[in-house]
Amino acid sequence: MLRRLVAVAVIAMLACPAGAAAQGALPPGDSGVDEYVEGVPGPKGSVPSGSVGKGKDRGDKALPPGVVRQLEALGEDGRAAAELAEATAPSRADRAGARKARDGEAGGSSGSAGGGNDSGGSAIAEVVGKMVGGGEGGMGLALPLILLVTVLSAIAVVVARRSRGAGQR
Amino acid sequence: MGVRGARGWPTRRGVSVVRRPLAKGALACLALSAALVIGAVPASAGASRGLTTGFGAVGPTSEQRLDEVVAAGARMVRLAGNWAQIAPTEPANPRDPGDPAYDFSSLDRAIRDVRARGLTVLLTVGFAPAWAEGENRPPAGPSAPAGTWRPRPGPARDFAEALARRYSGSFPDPQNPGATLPRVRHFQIFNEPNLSSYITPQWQGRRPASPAVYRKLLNAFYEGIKAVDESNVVVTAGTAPYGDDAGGTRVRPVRFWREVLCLRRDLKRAKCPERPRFDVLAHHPINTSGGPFRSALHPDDASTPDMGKLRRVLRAAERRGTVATKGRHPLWVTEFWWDRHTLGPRLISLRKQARWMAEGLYLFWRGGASVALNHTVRDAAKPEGRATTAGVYLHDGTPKPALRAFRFPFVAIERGRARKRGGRRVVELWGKAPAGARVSIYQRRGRGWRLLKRVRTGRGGVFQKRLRMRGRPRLQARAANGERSLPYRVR
Repeated sequence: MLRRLVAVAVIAMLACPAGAAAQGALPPGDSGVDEYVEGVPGPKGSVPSGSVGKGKDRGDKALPPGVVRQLEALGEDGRAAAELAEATAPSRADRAGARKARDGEAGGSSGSAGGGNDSGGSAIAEVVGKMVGGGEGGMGLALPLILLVTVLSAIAVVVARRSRGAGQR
Repeated sequence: MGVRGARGWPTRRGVSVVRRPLAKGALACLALSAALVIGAVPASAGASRGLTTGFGAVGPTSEQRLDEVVAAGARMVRLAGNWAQIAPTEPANPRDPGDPAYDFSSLDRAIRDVRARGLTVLLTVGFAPAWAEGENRPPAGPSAPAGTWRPRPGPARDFAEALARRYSGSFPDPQNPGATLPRVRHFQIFNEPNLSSYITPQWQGRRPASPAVYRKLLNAFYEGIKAVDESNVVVTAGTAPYGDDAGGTRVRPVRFWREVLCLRRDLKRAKCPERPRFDVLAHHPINTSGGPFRSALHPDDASTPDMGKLRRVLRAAERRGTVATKGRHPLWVTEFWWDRHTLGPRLISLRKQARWMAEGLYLFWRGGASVALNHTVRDAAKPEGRATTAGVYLHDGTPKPALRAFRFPFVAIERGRARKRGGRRVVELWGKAPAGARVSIYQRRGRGWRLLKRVRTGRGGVFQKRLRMRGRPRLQARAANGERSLPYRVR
């Protein structure tokens, strides 16, 4: 159980930056070689799930070999999770671009940030845009609403417990 | 009682002394109901819904392969009829199956062979001849293969009537004077219409185009088939499991059916020029991303465990009256396969393929399917490409373990966790016995097997039973005729 949780956490960590910077996703609907290959939903369209390890050199892997081995030891679910992480992770060029962008921002540079980001808006606006972005793969307004409801529910529970505790005292 | 109980729930100021017993009572009721639901162990094990199994891609003249189909316990064979090959030129009397422009000879032979073994034929026709394709056809190529471009409803209706007349059971057999050609009752129009290999165009801008094309084709075909005999069964094309985002070469199957069945995304009625007409809805819940329990990632894709997604859409359409044919429509799996290349270049073992076969059949049945057809009975000579190693026999005719799993599938799946560590968990036993009205379930103990339970089989030999048991023992089902399933460790 603990191993599964660790695996899920690793994937979530690796998939999140992919969501912001993934490039190289196939154009929508390009199923590539095989029309029975599942497209992995991503922020820039579907990526064929069977593309893990194909056409990428060893240094371009998103997951370290040890993690891949651990995931594969978990069976089919683990293998599928590894594939998902690989399919949704940014390529080496994109990771380098993102790194350059970070370095550039830290140094006060206003120049272009490599291949990662070509929009001229602010980072916050971009994140908000991605969160509420509709389309086939996006959740639209659902995600911020879910987050809002979750936070409000948590606050309500805390307040209720406190007031109940005060009442019992 | 319910209202008073509800009043007893905690308020902002806490639970009052007077109301606490009511809250406890409500909680006890809830717990009791939950325990009854989770721990329910039905007394009768025979399932009310059967599962007919069969094969496709048998090869029209292969006597040996048809014998293998029978040996595998199959009841149905899916035969492909290529419309473009049967009618390369436009017939003068397209509703007359004897028109000289038609060439049914190879289909006649295949149907004769299959029916001679008492097997049911599902006749799938596809690929429109060039003269029956729609206007503004782009040059034939990968983006619009021959026979796929907007097949015209008029010629489809006429061809359907010719087919139904030829295989009505009363049409003279040209090869056997004095005899008639066998009867075929089940007709399927096209294959995987959500792929551009079979229907084009799939998209127009950001909107799927293939559902509307297919709905017209389906209705025309239905009219032609039913014009000959109202008891004929029209099966929709089985959809492929995965699709693309807008503008791709495929439409996701759940979205495809929502559009064909005139439903919006929220399953409410959508505007439609005409409601679809059919008797059975088909899908191909193939899984190329993992084992049978691996669901499709996208909510509108549907692989092995996702038949329920299509059932929900179909039932919503029936409820809202967006299907022109009345009643509950059965769901069929008209193609599935467990290719040994499923997980990439590394072959899955024959044992695993067999286990996936049994698990897949269970999931199809659980998802509401009443027919499941494996793509092929025997592996291809060159095991390259999809579905070439999906047979239950090796290419040389040697039976694979998957044959036993196909003939006598048996699984034991955990359906409820143990209440405490080391306690007994609820395990669902499911199988399809090849013979007999009773099945004995054995449990592995040491080096031998011990009888655990006897269960009655239901329709088509299907049985389902829930038991409580400790650990994850190996179980085996044994039919009345002595046949044994493959052993299965509780999952």
